[in-house]
Amino acid sequence: MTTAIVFTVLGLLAITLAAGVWVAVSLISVGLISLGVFRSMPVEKLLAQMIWNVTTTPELLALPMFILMAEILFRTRLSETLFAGITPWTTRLPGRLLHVNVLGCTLFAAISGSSAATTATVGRITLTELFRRGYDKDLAMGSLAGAGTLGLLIPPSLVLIVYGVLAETSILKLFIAGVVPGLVLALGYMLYIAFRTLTRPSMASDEELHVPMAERLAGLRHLGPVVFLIVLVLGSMYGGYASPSEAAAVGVVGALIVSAMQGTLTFANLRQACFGAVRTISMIGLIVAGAYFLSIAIGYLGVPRIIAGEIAGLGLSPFGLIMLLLVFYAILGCVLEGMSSIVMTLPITLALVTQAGFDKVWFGIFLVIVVEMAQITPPVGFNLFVIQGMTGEKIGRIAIATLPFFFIMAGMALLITIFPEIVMFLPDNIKLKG
Amino acid sequence: MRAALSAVDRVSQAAGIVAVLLVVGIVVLIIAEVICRTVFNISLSFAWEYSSYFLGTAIFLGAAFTLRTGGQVRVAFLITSRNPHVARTSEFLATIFGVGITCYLAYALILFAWRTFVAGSTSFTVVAVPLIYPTSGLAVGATLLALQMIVRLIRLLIDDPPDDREAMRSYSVE
Repeated sequence: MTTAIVFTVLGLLAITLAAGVWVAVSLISVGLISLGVFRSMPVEKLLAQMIWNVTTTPELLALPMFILMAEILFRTRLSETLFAGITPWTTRLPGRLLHVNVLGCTLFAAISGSSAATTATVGRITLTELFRRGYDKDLAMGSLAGAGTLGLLIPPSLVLIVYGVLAETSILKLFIAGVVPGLVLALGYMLYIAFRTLTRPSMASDEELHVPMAERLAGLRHLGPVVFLIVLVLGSMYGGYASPSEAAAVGVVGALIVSAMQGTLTFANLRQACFGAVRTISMIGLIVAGAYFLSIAIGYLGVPRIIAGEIAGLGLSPFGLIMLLLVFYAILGCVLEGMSSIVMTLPITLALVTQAGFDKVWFGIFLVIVVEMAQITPPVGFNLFVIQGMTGEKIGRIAIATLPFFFIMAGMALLITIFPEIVMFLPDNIKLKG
Repeated sequence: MRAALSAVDRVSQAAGIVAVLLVVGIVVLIIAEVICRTVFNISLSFAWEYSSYFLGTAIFLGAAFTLRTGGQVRVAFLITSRNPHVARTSEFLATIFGVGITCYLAYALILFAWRTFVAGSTSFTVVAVPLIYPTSGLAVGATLLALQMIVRLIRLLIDDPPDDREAMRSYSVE
């Protein structure tokens, strides 16, 4: 009986998803059908109540506002100013302007919660410039795809908001925990770029760029808008003045100010930003609703307990368990988009890892790194799609160009498993509001 | 026939506009709360409650418009198959399945709203919001989503494009 339940749940999920049923619809259907078959209970009441509970939870409020902020910023001239401000500082580094991808994404990630938005905003300028100046195409595209995923890890982060709501963990703690791993990962990308261009200098353009220090310092004013927004959003949260939702609201106002100052605050832009935001909010909101209902449903059916029992039977060490999950999510990431793969597996995997003694905050960061890998694995990898949209290159070529960065992320996941302090040091030692 | 189908599109679009206004409303309420708390030292607790209802309603009122403009995520493996027969069949089956589940979802949320109305339920806070307002917002949105899904099925049957391609292009990021 119990195995029948587990196979029904997993089988239905796999079949409906593969058949192209919308993720949210599929999650709801699996919950409904398995409850209907194995338990006679008023399913309709449970469905409505759970959806109501999760879509009107105040913790979720940061989500719509960070989405709106990113949509507004995408329609500003922020990518141009980022490029102008960062470029002068990269001229002495091995790999030169290639580092603008990583540094630009790192900075933009600190005001954006999505990796697709980060990739698109930063790449809009950098790719054209790098191609034009004769940098290696593959390294330019690969580093952008890799660095774009920092949008999810460096706070604010949409995935961490959703994880915080579903795993009932402090979103602010998650936001603080993501910073150091994000910066380490960025450093890893830069070291790789330096290594590649030192061993094969032809990959970097040989144009001579001598920028005097005075000019570099003067160029910093271009970073003004980004720094202003980072101080507004992260500063207010880390300083203990604002909760993530409040910081997001302030961030929207900040984005409007930047847009107005750059002369991009037109009615058409604003209208597009708002509709674009509603589309993303509605999409993520429905998936979260479906995932929450499904997690309650399979909880009633005892599925997480059964699977946890099976995995416990394997006698894995905590490290072995994490490695198993790493491989599992990497495979899942080939067919599913990151957010979906987290929300639908969370009821089972969260139970597993907390049992094995891992912290919920730590696991949130681990999951983000793992789904970042999913963002850049074909056939379904949103960052690859974004770069394909910008360059018109084949997905296969972009994916191969991105592969080294995939392995750097896998290395990062290993690193935080061996040294959990990289993640936990800040959240364990900072006093927070809310 | 086609006039009726595009009428549903227009209603979805209108609901999308309401969803936009609700999201803007959330920003305004939270900003008001921040200002009142930091400048005047008054707490606007109702701001959080109203915003939460706005969010739930916005998610559902925007759902049909999002479906029509191709924004609801799905695994595109089979539906974009090179074999037109496979692609067509899976799109058709996925949509029939979608009609079934979204209709049930609408039914569940309509009953939910009806129960809050009959019982006269209010929230357990000082403002005591009659819950029929937000719950009917969710019900209306879910009903529209089901309707849009039915329209999608009809479009597939009469060989009309099910997605609004033009709108999809203008929202191509994210």
